[in-house]
Amino acid sequence: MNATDSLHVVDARNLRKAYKNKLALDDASFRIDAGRIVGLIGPNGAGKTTALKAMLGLIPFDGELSVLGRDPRTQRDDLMKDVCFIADVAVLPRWIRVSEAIDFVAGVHPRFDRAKCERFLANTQLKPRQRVREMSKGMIVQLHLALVMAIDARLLVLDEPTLGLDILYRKQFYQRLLEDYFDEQKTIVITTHQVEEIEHILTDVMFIRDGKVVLDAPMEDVGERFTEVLVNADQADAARALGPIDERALPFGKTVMLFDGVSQAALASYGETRTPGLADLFVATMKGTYA
Amino acid sequence: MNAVVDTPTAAPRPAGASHVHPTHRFRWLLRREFWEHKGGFFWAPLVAGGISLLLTLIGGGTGQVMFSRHGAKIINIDGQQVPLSDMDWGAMLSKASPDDLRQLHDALNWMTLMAGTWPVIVFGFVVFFYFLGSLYDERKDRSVLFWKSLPLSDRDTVLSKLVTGLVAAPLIATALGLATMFGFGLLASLFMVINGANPFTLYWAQLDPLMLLGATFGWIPVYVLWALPTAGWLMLCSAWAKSKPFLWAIAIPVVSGLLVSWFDLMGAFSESSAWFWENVVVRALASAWPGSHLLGYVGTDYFDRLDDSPNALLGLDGMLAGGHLLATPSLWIGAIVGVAMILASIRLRRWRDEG
Repeated sequence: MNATDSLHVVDARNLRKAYKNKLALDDASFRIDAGRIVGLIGPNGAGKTTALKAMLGLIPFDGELSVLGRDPRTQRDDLMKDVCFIADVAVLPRWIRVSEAIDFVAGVHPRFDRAKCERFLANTQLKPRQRVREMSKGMIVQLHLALVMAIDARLLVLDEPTLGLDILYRKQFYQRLLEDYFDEQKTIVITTHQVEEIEHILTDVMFIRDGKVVLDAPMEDVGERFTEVLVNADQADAARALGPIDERALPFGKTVMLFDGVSQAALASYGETRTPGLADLFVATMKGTYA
Repeated sequence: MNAVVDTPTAAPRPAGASHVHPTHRFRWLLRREFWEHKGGFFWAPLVAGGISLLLTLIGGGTGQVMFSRHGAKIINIDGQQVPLSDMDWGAMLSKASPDDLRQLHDALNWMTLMAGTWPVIVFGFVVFFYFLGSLYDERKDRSVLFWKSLPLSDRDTVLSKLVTGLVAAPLIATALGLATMFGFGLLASLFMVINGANPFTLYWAQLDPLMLLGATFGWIPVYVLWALPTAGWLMLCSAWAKSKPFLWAIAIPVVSGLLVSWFDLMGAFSESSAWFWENVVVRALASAWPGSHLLGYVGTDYFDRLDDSPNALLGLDGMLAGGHLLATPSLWIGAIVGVAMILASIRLRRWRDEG
């Protein structure tokens, strides 16, 4: 075991990256520990993909960043032995055949397990001679996921892995990831807009807005910290005095208020309480982003 | 070059990991290029060779038919009209003067060699577009992000494309050229048999296999060096252009050439435009064309030293092998500029943000 195991898988300090007229990363700092599944969530243009690209050494940036103890800017070739990523759907080259893709990855990646990959593919309709250009979007993702999951990488980065897939493929994708890939040695970072679909598999969540990390917490803490209350019209002013971070009106005069750091017990008297979903939390946190 | 091997003990492993095996990255990178470009580098030259043989067959067949239709199976030997069917080819060969024999030998070898050029000509077209798309196509379909998710350095990837275009592909094309020559030999034999000649004495025994092999493959070493500026320029455009690498690759040298010519006309520079076109524009765009290194002889004293034997063309220091060019600065300056552009392409591929 090398020294990096005791440290964080990702340790980012004051990341800055400016595109032509916009700061994509604005002093973003965060840490990711081993054995976590982290959801990196933010509106379009918030800097999610930029943060991932920085971690993968695909772009230059300012600030300090260590991934598995290496600087992705200068030690990318070495880093990629332990890191894998799926950047987007359909990035597999269209000319490649299933068998060629397997042969190639087996030939260049020391940690690729061919038997494992073939086992994953046995459950699909993919044929060895089939080319990527002959596949549906869902099949391409199946192939890509089979290739990537057969690599024993310590960090897997998934950027919108299920974009454009139907619900069956999406469910299968995350199911596969949890059952056949994830273990306490591995770390997964995911970005997606389909927040509801991944919230039950995440161990940590990170909200990013305008290039800054605005929320970074384990999922358990999120449950304890945030409470949603269904407030009757007559209680609304009293509840509002406790400083909800967001509220939205429902039909029949009721209001849903979202509180940060107020105990559930204190809120119970104003109405029915529950733990908010990530999607509600996201909407509340990102209010005004596109204004 | 292909010594990038990970031994099982090379990297620290997380517990529970089960599978580490050695890799031969460069070999696989080359194989990948071949998979992707099999159509251009294998099938296209093969088909070209096949078509040239078919045309030879049709041409020969037509000649044969015309011959017999006009009943004029007569050839003219030393002023005598001899019916073709009565020709004693063996006797003619044995009676021929050494000079005639040498001419026959040279003519047959040249015809055979020429028969093998079609695959190489097709390769000349293919390799231009190969380099032009080498670093652009993967960005266009975003598959570059897949390749970059594997432990493959940008340096090795770009070098594998260079080696594919300048070494592997010409070798394949010339091997197919050799096969075409053999096919031509078979066709020639067929027509000789039809006309009552013995192809073994009249054709095969006349061939000079060493010369043919030398002439078929001999141009490749100097080609690798000579083609570097074009390979480098096209790869640079391929790595840099946001779109339409073809237009950029052509327009930049040609427009600068036109500008230089225009300044020349205006009298701003003196006589530099010919130099510019020859040493910059043509070198950037046409040097990957097989045989284009012959242009490198223009203006050297090489032609003065030529004798008129075929060795002038085929010898190691001959035009085909281009040995003489190794002593000219033009070749080396071009190669250095080419290498610089390839290094720039590696850097561009490393840092280019695909958005």
